[in-house]
Amino acid sequence: MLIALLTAHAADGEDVAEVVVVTATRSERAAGDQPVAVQVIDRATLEATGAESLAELLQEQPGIQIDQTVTGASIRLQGMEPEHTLILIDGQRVLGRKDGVIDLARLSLQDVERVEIVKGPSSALFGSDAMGGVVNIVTRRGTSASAGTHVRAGLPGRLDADADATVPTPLGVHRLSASWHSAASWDRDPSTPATDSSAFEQRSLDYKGTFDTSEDSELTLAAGYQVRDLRGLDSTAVGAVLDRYQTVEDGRASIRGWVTPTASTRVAWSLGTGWYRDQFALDQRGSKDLDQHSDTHEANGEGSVQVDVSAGRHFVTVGLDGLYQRLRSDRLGTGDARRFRGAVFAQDVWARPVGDAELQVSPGLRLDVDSQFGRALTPRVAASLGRERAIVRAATGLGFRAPDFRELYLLFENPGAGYVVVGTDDLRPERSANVNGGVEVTPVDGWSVSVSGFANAIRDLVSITDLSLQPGALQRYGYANVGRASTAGGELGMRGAMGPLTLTSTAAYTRSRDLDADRPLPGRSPLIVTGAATLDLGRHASVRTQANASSSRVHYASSADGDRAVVTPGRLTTDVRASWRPPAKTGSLELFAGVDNLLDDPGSPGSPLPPRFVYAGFTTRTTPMAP
Amino acid sequence: MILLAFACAPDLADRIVWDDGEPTPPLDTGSGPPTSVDVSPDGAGWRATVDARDPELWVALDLDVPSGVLPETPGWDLRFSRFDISANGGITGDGGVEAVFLPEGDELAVPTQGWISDAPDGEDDGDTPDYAMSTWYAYDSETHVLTPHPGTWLVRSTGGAIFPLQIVRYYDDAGSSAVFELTWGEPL
Repeated sequence: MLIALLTAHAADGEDVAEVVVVTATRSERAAGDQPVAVQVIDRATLEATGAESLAELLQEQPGIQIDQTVTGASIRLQGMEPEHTLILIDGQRVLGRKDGVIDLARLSLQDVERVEIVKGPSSALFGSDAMGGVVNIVTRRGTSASAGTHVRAGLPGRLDADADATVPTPLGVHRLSASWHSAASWDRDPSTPATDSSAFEQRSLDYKGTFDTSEDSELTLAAGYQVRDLRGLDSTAVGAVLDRYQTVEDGRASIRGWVTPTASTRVAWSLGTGWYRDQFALDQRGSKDLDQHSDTHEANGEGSVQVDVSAGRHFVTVGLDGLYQRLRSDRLGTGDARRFRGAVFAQDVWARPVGDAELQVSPGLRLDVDSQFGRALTPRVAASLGRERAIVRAATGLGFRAPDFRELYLLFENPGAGYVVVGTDDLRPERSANVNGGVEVTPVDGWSVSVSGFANAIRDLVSITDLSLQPGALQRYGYANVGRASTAGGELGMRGAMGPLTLTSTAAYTRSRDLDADRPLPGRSPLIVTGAATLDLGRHASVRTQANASSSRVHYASSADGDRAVVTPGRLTTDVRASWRPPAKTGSLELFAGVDNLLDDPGSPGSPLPPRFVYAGFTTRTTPMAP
Repeated sequence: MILLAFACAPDLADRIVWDDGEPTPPLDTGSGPPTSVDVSPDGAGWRATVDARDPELWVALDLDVPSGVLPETPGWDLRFSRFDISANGGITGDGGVEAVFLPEGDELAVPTQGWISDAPDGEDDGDTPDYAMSTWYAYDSETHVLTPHPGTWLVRSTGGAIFPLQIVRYYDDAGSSAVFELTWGEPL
């Protein structure tokens, strides 16, 4: 069954083909044994990058575009919109999308074991939002007694600190962690009083307990709470200056387990709840005309039952998902919105030898039934053919995104700025169809090359439309299923090691079109090139440098004469990090220092980059001496 | 679950010291922002600040006196509410007020044609009356900023005088909209 191939890599360094992942097929399988390509960033790679948040981590990954927007750090996979990437933590949906963006900067990494990325539609397994792909954050679980600390301090003003402890007991293994992060605001445009980013302070507390009730079953309890206070400045074109305040709270709790009633059957179940509160305020200086305050409460409940059966050449997965969503906001016309979605899904991974290779074919199908929009059927078929030093993969499938509550029920009036935005309660889901394929080859030990391509056709895109009754007066905007778009592209990747030097390099090209306006979609960099080199200096020291270059992108500015294309320049970020891990009898110690954005590239006005950042810190891990 | 039970940040609105130093509830604007007209001499003419921020109220101006007046006061010439400027003539009143716009660069002479008074809503998408001075601004759909067209309005007042009037700006120093600054000179 296992194709022990070098088919999946950590983005930088270690071969992770044997890492067990869950996102590609919703079942625990080795990364190298997946009919669908999955990109894995394991803990060692994650620590080597020096990233503290998911935004910083993914910024360096191939084929992923991360942008700093007014609503946070956004992600694009395969040229799709940020709302087309499903973000999960241990399979549980992350709440808090604002204008389609989940701020990846608020997802810190101290509890992350690995990050799994599947590009291309995964709605056949995960349902709504997974049109462009899925990013699943798998959290760490305690195994043996240990305690760890991590501190990073840098300029301009930033401090990150976290601590964790794992305590095994006869009842189970308990892991508790806490973190504290703070940063000063920064600004790339001194011509206005507004800041490009907000200063923030973020605190979190998380617990995870694993209970091995027997060898054939397991129970996991997890809960976490995080609060993030932000403060920045906004300004308007006519000189108003507004202090911007935001407090974001995020809580999660889940209980999940699995049993293996027979050697070939595994039953997994989970119940989870999430809660998110976003308080936002604008305080106009010298007046209160433009003062704003909003208080948004979002909550959901998720439940799932999944059965995996291994029978001969087949590995069959069937399951049920339930999702309850609720949003309360003074910006909703209804004030309170809720809906329920149930889903049934099935998938088979059928494998058989073909000569000295192994062929896998995996058809899957999912039916979602939603209390708002009705039914969505999303099939996917994936296949792979692999042998010792090469694997070929291909897949095709459909994806969908349910319209969110804001698009359905928003009622937001901003007379000071002269516009109103209203929701449309009969929106349909956005739909996409995708084909993708790729080849990965390991010509010699230590070196691998991969080539992949994809194409997406998207319809029923929910777009803002101008509903103004009186041109030039108070602008009235609403939502409609009017958009059609396409994206297509490919990635070329290389990884290799020469003695103490490890190199990775990727180039990703994406062509995107707005099919209605017959022009490129805005905000996409068609070409993104990444490269990283790690040099083992000996004596437990290493230095790593990575660079990310992206081409120029186009935006459109509206005017009375129609839209005007505005091209913003490309960007180049370069990071350097050195670390030293002196040998320790128990546990470990790492001292590190580095510079992010070494060349201080400012980015572009629509998506500025943080200024050059110089930092240093340490990481410790203490384990008790064996008796 | 225990973590979530203790998880709750205080309300943000209560923690902010709002700009006036008082913890004013941000959404409770009471009867709305103050509305007023402030007229002062400006060389040989006059300068007025018209606070028209309350969309529920009209704020009126008598160019002849000159001063701000209540809209029901006989003799008012122009009234303001948000970005709407209405004149005491046509469908609005019996004062006979009408206006004509002279773009920047045009000779400041009284034309015989082109005078407009408030009229019923015409063939456009909206349901707002076609006010005599409804074309006073240019709208930037990107920044949502209203900018007065450069030039001079000639306004025939209820007293029969023709005043050259300029709309200087629509935003005050704090960046609030619907705070007009106007100047007008001696009658032509």
